[in-house]
Amino acid sequence: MLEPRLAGRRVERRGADGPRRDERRADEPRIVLVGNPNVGKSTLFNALTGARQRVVNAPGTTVELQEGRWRVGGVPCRLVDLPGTYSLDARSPDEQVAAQAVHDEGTDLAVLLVDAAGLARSLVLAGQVALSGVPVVVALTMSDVARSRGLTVPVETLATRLGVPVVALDPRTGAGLAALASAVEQALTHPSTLTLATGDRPDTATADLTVGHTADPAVDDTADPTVDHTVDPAPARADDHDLEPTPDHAVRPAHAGADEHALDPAPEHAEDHDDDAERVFAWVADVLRVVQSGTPATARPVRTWSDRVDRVLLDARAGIPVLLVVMWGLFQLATTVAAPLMDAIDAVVNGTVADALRDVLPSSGPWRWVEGLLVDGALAGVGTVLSFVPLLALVFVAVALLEDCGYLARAAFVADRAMRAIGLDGRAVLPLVVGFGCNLPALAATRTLPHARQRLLTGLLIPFTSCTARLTVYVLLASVFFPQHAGTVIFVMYLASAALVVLGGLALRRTLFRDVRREPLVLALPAYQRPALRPIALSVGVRVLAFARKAGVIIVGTLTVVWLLMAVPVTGGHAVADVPVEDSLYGRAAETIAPVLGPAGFGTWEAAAALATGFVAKEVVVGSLAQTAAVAEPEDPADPGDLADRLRATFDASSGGHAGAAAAGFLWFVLAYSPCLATLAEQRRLFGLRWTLLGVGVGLSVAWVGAVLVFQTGRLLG
Amino acid sequence: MSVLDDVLRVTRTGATPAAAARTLGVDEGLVLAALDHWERRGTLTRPPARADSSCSTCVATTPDVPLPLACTGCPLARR
Repeated sequence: MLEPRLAGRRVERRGADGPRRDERRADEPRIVLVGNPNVGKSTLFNALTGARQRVVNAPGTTVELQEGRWRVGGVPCRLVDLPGTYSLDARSPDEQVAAQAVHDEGTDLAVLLVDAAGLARSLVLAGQVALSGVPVVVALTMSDVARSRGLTVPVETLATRLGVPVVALDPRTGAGLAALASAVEQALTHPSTLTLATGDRPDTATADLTVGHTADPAVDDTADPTVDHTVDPAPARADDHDLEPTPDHAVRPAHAGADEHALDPAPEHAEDHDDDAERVFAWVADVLRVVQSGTPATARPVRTWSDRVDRVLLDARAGIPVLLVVMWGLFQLATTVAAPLMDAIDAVVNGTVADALRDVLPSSGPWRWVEGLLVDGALAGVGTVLSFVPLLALVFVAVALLEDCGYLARAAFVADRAMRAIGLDGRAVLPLVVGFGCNLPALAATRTLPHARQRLLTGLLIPFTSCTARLTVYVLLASVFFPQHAGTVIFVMYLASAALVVLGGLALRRTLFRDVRREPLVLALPAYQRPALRPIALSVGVRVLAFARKAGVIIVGTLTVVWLLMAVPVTGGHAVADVPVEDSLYGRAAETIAPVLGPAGFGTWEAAAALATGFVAKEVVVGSLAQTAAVAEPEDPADPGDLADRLRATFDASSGGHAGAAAAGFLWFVLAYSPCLATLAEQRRLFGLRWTLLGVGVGLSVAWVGAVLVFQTGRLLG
Repeated sequence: MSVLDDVLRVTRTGATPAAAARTLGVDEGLVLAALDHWERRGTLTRPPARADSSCSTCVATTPDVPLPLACTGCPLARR
């Protein structure tokens, strides 16, 4: 029988207000299985409970737990399989449930699964369990894996250091389960808690804590072990640096809370931490030193090839140039490889397919209107979407390869150091890097920043990061106006984007954000590894399909609306769908805006209209340029030319013969003027209307002033 | 200096967990646990070691977790 149940220290942990455990469930002790992920908890749970189990929700959460009955010494116990966790310092609902269960006064005993092959991480969790004061029996698993790696965990020594029973077992074979049951039965009557004693010898435990095992960790369950529980349940001596159990050890809230402050992951001084963590890690290091004393030492630093590569890539002087070269190479690759593919797709969609559609559809009466809508509206949009698929696929592949091999993390590390050097918060680097893909998720990523003012500052800078959608405009104009240096032009656009972020950050820090302090941030670098091509291919395929489906809907829809606006006459008395663009609603509205852009060299209704549609989504800018070029009356009807010729002619006319300078100004304007509508909506949601409007105003000003400077400088230089 | 501070100091110089363990002469698992501790405190961030190996990584990302870098530009990542 299990009486007296849980005398001693564990009872003291309840506090004055809590009901006594033996008053609530005198005949049904609650035992929890706690341990790191993939340490064998669920296998052990199934082995112990068999069919006597059910799925329950943790109180007040949607986290599911397995709960079952386990007869220990003839007495039924409630056994709960907790979610795997590396820490009781919870940051997810699953971890919070595990932490709360360990700290719950209703928990009578924790069976702590310790991974022999990952001892350090298991011991850190053990140290945190020790702080809770819950009685513990340790189940040592994965001994076979540890042996295969040349690691040996002496069970007796471990038990002596921990001060609680340690049972080596293999849940898959059932070896050690009887010994575990025996240890648990004894622990329920004579509970013992983990002690965080450091030093040469723990005085609170004796060698015979070990249950049925010798120094060899091999699991042997053939004999019924004699369990000798002579554990002193009293608190350990103060001169051992023991920690008293902490009844109210705080469980940090999961970050998913709605409260702004609940999302703050860091204290004001991020490197401050409590003594508990220091002591836990010191204790773990001490236990490892004793337990692994027979393991061959690896303490002597050996410089690996990875270290040598990092010495260059992370060097303060070499790191940034290497990063720039890698980026330049990426854009060269994207433009040179993607360009012919894009041309081929464009030729098929806007050539072969469009001609076939025109042949099929009648060209008289209302059918002419339908033909225009389908061919010049919807099909032009589809062509735009499809032509960018090769480009985006290449960029996705390149970025994924860089990340998979470990370089992208190095790039972030170098960029982070550079940003901190110029006074920006190093923590902001990741949202900003994300912004180079898409501004919208980058805004969401600012939520990882610890303070609202930092989030706002970073959120205002994100629209200056050049998203993938803007890349489509760069590719088109660079190919048309700078065909010999297209990759370099695109690279320069990204440098300009980075410069805008840096200068904008410095300006804001010195004006509206003087109160924002720099926070220390450390980037932990992953090891280099060979890229896994299949997952990359799968992931790229998913993204390209998602672009075609989601962005495609926006592009096709917008271009269809644009075509409809171009079909509505406002001057000249034309019929619907038979109207020169300059007399259409679209053309007249664009013409109204166009003079403002005159000083930048692209004061035409085509450019103004394309930029206006770019407010919806930057991907639409190219489609709009193509669409307006397609429907505009060519100067020489005998030579309609292609889109490139039309664009060159348009920019040449508007700039007085300086088409290249005007195109450069246009590129700058696209980079700086405004993010898409979805990003603006997210900005408004996160930061409010006032800051969003301020951001739009600043962006438009920077775009216009910069474009004028670029054009006028280019014009003067000839 | 404590183990925690040592790991942070060495990692700040750009050391991988394995390199930090070699430099400090401690178990690599202990270094990983220390990094996990600092990450939970918001002092440290760890870019993903591998591009998303499952297709759903970008979709499953919650607002308080940074996107994997390889998810940049992915419309599925839009939340």
